[in-house]
Amino acid sequence: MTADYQTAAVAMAGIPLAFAILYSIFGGIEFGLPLAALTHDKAGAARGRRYFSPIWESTNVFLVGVVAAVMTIFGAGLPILSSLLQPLWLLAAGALAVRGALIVGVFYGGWTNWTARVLLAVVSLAIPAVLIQNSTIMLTGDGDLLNHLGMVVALGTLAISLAVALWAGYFYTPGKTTRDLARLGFWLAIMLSWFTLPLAIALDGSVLSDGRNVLSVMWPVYGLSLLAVLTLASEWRRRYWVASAVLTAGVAITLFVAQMPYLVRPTVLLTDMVTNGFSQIWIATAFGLAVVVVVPVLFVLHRLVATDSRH
Amino acid sequence: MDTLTQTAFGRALIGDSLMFHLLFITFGVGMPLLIGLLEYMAIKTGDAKWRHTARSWSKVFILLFITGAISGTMIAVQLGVVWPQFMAIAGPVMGFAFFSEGLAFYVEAAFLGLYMLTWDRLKGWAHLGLLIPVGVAAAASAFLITSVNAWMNAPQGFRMENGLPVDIEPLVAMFNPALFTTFTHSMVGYYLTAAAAAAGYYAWCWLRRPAARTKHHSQVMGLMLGVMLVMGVLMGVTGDASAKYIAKYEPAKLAAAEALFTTTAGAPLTIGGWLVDGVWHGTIAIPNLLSWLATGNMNATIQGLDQIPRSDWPPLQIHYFFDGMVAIGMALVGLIVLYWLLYWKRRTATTSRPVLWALVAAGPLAMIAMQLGWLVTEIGRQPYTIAGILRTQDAITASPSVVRAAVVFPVLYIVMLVVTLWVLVRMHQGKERVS
Repeated sequence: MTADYQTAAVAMAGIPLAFAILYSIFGGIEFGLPLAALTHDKAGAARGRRYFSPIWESTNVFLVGVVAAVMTIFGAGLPILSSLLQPLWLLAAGALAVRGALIVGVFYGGWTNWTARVLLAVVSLAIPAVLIQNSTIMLTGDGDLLNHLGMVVALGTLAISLAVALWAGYFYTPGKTTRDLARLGFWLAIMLSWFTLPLAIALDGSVLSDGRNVLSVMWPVYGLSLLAVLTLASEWRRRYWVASAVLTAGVAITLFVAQMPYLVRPTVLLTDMVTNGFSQIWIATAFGLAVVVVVPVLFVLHRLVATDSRH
Repeated sequence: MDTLTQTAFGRALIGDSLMFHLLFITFGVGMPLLIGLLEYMAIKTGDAKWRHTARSWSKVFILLFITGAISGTMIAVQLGVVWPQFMAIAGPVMGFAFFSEGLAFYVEAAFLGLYMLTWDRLKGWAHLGLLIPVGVAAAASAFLITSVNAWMNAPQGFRMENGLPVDIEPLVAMFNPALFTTFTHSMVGYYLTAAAAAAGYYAWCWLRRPAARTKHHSQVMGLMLGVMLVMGVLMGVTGDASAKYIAKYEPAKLAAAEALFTTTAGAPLTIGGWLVDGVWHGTIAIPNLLSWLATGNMNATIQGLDQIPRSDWPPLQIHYFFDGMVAIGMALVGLIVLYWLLYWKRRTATTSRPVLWALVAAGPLAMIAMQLGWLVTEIGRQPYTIAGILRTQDAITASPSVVRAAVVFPVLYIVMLVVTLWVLVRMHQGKERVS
């Protein structure tokens, strides 16, 4: 096995990572959005519905991207991944379906009762908390989450705090309740990232079985959260969502770095599972083309939303 | 739990998921064309009513797109975790198509967002132009995922060694013999069904709401019937090509669909009947017609189930599905022809209540035909997941949580369907809140 081949496999793993980062950011905003309905911030809820509804739930495309990328790039590893992740993924998929029905009812069908709104908020925040547990399993190679409750709780809380921070930042309104939630959510996310993530990663001895120090994989979260703090301190100080997005990316990258070069630690190597050369080139090229097309569109969408928000 | 039971639950799960997804992706693929035509009419006539109608349908499209996105996510997850052995083979061979399908959906979603956010900002071709990538990406998405399904029916571009695919030629795998007929036939079906549903909606309004009996509604209904006419013709052409493909490459599926047990020269077309203990009763046979439809030669020999090992027979019940699909297709073609005959004779077809009621039924019937068609394709390939390569019972995961999922997910789908229909009804009543 050559070093080049291993590098290529890790590089290809960057594609599901990219989708995971995008899903974390856009999904985080969506997962936190039902809080607007809970806090009676009608302006926030209305803005969320009006300006995010065109791409509402198409955020799932990024989740499909993660799944499709793993299935196609590391398809040979699916029997192993399936046996480990199946209950978690089916639980998440079921929660997504419940949430989908609630979204349609609350945001499109005018369900105003408290029960529906609370249920929507709870399910919405539970989904990232469940999905991030993939990292617990893939970092430990143990499908039984009960054996790693420390990681489960730490990562779940982190995912929820990031969702709160992202939502509150994106729909930040000066002088409104969201401002306080934004601050609370953002600083909670920073604290959890800095202090509990290394602890969570180190909780199982097999996590860094190659002898690396836990802190050696933490540079993305420290580096990017520092950038996030600087962002807040700059003239963009009101753009909490940019800072939260940067922090979210840092967490995702950290979990990725901690896992390399394994698909499932500590035994299943990426290089043993990566697909053939043709598929690698095709997938990388298609991904690059899609980025070229879609990123400008997403940017324009964001500007349109921002312009509308000011009016 | 034994493998057969596990497989049955797994098949039920993915079958339910695909049928539920099909309800929505039919409109996801078909509606951009219809909305585009409506907006084009607005540009051409300068009449604001066309634009208003296009915008109203775009709101419906968004709602269906949302539910379709969720159901698509369910399927992506299930393919990976419920059918890992299938993906272990399909991933290296057709993974690039799977992945590209996701990207096409990604492009569709992004441009759809742009299209919806610019209704008040852009006019004319500038706005309509944003719908073109949506429609193209939807079609590309359908092409890519259909290529995977076609490959499952006619696998090529690799060989198996020690249970894994080797000597992989992905493009050969993609452009397999089933691709053209499966893709064209299903695409035409999506457009036809979406147009039939829209026409049925206007027919319903015409019958039930006097205020809706306007010239504009009549024109929109006519436009939808125009789409149905074009697609009806194409449906016949692609259906014929599909029959010839199946006869050549999937003889077991054809034999089961046509209840043909014995290899026969000048084979009859078998219609109707009921199955008792593996024997069909009460069927009607039209001599030589199957041979002619399948090959163009009335005396050609068509392979029967007697040439296929009993363990490789597809479920015989697909004859019901096949007959149902063909019967509905023929009825739809008859309705389209009747509508345009009436229009040609009276310059309007809205005076005929039976035709309007038939149009109301056409939407659901077209959807049922779509579902039956896919049932024939999927169940007709059994007992294989990848024809001749991977048996379904060998493709499924060993995890017992499949059983729970097979019970829970259909309930979730029903809830989602009810909620979506309820919101659609509210939109119809003018209570919708979609911006």
